[in-house]
Amino acid sequence: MVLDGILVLLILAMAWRCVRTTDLFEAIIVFVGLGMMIALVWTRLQAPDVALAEAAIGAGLAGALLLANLRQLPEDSSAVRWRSSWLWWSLWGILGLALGFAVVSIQTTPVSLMPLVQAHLPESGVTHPVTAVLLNFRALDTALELAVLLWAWMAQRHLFEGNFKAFHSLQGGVLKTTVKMLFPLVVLIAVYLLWRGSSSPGGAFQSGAVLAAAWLMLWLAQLPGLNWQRLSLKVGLLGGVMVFFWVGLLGLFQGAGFMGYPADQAGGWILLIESVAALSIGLLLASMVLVSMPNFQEQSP
Amino acid sequence: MMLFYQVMMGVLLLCIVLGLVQLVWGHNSADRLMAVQLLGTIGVAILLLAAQAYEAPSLRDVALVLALLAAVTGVAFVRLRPDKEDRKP
Amino acid sequence: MNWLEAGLSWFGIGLISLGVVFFIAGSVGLLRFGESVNRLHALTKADSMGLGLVVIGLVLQAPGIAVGLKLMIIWTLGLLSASLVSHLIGQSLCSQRRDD
Repeated sequence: MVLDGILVLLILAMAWRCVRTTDLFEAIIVFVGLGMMIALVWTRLQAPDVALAEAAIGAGLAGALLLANLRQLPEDSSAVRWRSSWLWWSLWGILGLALGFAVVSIQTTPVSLMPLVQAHLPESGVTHPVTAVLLNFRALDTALELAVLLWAWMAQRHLFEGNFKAFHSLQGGVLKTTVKMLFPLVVLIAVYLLWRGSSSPGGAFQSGAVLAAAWLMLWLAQLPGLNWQRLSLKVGLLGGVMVFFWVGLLGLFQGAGFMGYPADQAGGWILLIESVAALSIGLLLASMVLVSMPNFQEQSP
Repeated sequence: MMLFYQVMMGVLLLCIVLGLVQLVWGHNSADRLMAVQLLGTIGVAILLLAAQAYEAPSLRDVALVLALLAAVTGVAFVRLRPDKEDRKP
Repeated sequence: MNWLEAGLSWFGIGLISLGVVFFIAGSVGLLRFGESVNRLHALTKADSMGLGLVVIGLVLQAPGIAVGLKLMIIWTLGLLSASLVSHLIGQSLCSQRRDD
């Protein structure tokens, strides 16, 4: 109980500081620290899948993305000091009270869907309930989430037309050598997360985020990574959504309904979808983060 | 045994509070970066202790990903740090 | 072999406590040292020794070899990342000092 209290106070303090400060660099660093603490909170809420995603994205990719964009802003820009008025305070106070009321009136014996999920788990093809829900029972939601990610990527392509400020100069070979050593390990961890997704927390999204971090690492060390103009890469970006919907249609023709899989083949289809989706998510996230990074090679993402 | 783990996690959380002071009132970007690294490492330690205490092996995977991403974040912050430092040590 | 397991378990508890002491030392050092370069020293103590002792203590209490291996991999990653980032921070501090 005390641990949770300290954690909550930490998060409140960090969030307050992140919003209040006018130094944008400090705000970004506090935001990254906040992401790490929220990952701890997710584990306390018995949601290790979300904790994995938060650690990969909130503590890693988001910080790099924000910082790269900060670098493209003019030199003397800083956050606007917010002016607090009574209207602002009253609006947010009402919202806070409403949220508090909602929290207080949560039923003490919540209706859980877990027994229902556990009852149908054998026919889903996987043994982890979260993956079963994400990729079998509610597969349409996940496919649409992938499509949203793809649309976000497409929208971002047209937004950014910056002049790239260069990296700081790289001295010595420590960064390049260490990244060369680390890169295979990171890819291995991504594949490991993908494989574990069928029986324990993990899955396509977390695996894709770690993969994106691997490519980000390569870019930061100014090592030649992916060739972003190749056609296979562009196919890979679309691959996740495509495969998801094609397999869904296949399920329709086989009589299991749209996005349904016959019980004995479900495991195989889910593995195929997850593998392609992880690759797609990795490429999409990496492309979105790298587009605002200083460019050191001809082929930009 | 559980009490031991919880006490250790509590002490580590207090260390995070100490690191938070450096995060917010640090003199320059290097100090803040070191504070975030410390936060990440202490987070990994807390997760590993929690994995053992609450018998939740999936928390070890979270610790693995956190350790990894703390490395990538650290490298990103050093490579993308702002050019001019307003405050001097 | 119950006494062996119990002994290892208690030894593990001792190592974890020692590791947390290193974490405390690192956090306090991060605040108290005067120069940024000195604060790097404090950070690396916490990162390597603190995490290392905690991991070794947990390995001694681990339920199996696979878990122990995974813990060692996590520690190796932590060491690599700590040394890489500390090196880069040191470089940036040096170049900053050279510019002044």
